[in-house]
Amino acid sequence: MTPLAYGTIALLMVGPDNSDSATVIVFGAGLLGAWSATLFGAGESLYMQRFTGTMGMIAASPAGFFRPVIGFALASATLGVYSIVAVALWSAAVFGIQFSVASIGGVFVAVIVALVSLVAIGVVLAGYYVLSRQAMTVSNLLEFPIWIITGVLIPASVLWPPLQWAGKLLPLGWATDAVRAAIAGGDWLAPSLMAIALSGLYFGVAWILLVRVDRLIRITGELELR
Amino acid sequence: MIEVENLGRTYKAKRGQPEVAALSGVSFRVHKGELFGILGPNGAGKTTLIRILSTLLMPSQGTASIDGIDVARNPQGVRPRIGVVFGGERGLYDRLTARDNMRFSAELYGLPVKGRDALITQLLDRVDLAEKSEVRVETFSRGMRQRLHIARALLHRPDVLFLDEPSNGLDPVAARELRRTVRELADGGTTIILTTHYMFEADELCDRVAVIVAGRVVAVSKPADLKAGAPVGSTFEFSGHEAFDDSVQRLVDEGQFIDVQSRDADGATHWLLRCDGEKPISREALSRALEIETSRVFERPPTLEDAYVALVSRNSES
Repeated sequence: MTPLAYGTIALLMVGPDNSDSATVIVFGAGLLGAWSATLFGAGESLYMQRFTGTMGMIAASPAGFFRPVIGFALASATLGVYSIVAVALWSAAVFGIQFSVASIGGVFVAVIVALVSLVAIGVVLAGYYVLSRQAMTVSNLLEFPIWIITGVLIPASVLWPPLQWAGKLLPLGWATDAVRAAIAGGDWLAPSLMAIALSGLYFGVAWILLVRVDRLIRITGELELR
Repeated sequence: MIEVENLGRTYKAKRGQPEVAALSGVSFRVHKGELFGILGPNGAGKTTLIRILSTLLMPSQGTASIDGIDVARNPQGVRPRIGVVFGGERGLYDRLTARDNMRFSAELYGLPVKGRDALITQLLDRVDLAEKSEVRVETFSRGMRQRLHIARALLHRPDVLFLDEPSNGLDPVAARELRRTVRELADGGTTIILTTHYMFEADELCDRVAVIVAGRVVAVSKPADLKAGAPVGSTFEFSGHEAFDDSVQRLVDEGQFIDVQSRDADGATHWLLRCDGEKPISREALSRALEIETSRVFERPPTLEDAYVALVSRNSES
């Protein structure tokens, strides 16, 4: 229900005028739901695994943390597809939105890129989630700032410039630019490539972090919550 | 072979408190194919030791290796060779079926997809869970969960299996089944390290045992040798209407017995006398001292539990 609530509030705020902006809002609300699903899904799944004792089983396996964490983050981000589809259907059915998309192929690619970006951010955060007993608190703290600076719902261009730059340090910031461009008829390929490149960097950082996390939890002996 | 040399582990305590030593100077070797028991009271360091050997915890001092691979320096080299079963109901995905839990583990260990399901079926059958393979784990009893833990730990055919209190909380039938499975695994050549609180289990299963008290190994021996070398002697039991109090008291005064118990039941007094291991007395000699027929005195040699209790008591005091 959360993505539908996001979509409804956003459309009521800007007015469902069936223009490009309404389409952008719908996809933005869908991505917002996807971001929440990734953030809380990854955080909660790792937190629960600390609690239920399955984290030890993963830690004792040759896979290490990286591969399983990618799987958890991907599963959570995939829930984001539901968010986008649900918000789109809801907007069309309730608000009569007529979708106006300049490049359907571009939107498809940009949305996939956005989901990859979400997984990349989720995997970097996972390193902290594995170590921290405060995963859920951190998720709450991060939810709003990240979607605001990455321009998921409201264009980042309206923000204070340093915040815009901060948003561009996250692959999601470039991915949302790509989605907007594909809908409005701009260059969606360049921001998509930037998002993919940045995601690759994030995956690399995540791998290094999770290898270190594996060693750190063995030093502290604080893998599980009970 | 598993080699543990001067192993120690300390934990950080609360601010202002000294560090807590969970293990200190632990050394032993476990030979290939051996079933090795680790015994000790709660908090003795058994689980800490298993966690270090299974690469989940770094030692603070000393070394431990499995087939020559250092568990602290090269955990990735050790992990494919070992299987770990932690006791209790945790460590499984409750919302998944038994088969899906196994599949997830197969992924973690990089098992090829081809033949994976057949192997899972075979292992679930081995632990009598084949009929429950498509049932969610949340409906499983503790015994079923424990058997699933074992099946899962065997997926990648480990050379070494760690079992941390596997029969804890199981009913007698389930515990017996579990012991049968463990024995079969050992007979099949798997090296097994088992921690348990149940002395009869260790006595029945283990080729050798180590007794850990307060983080230190106080004995490593075959169960039979531990019993034979125990600082306790046999336990004698007899019943009668006679007044044995004076005779028994005289023997106690001579330091012959370390524990004396009596209870009245069915119109007779039932006596249980535990002999001091350093002053053994024969059944015949006791009969003479009590002035009763030898056939009325029953002798039970020291059990592993007797030896364990004596060892723990002696080392807890020192």
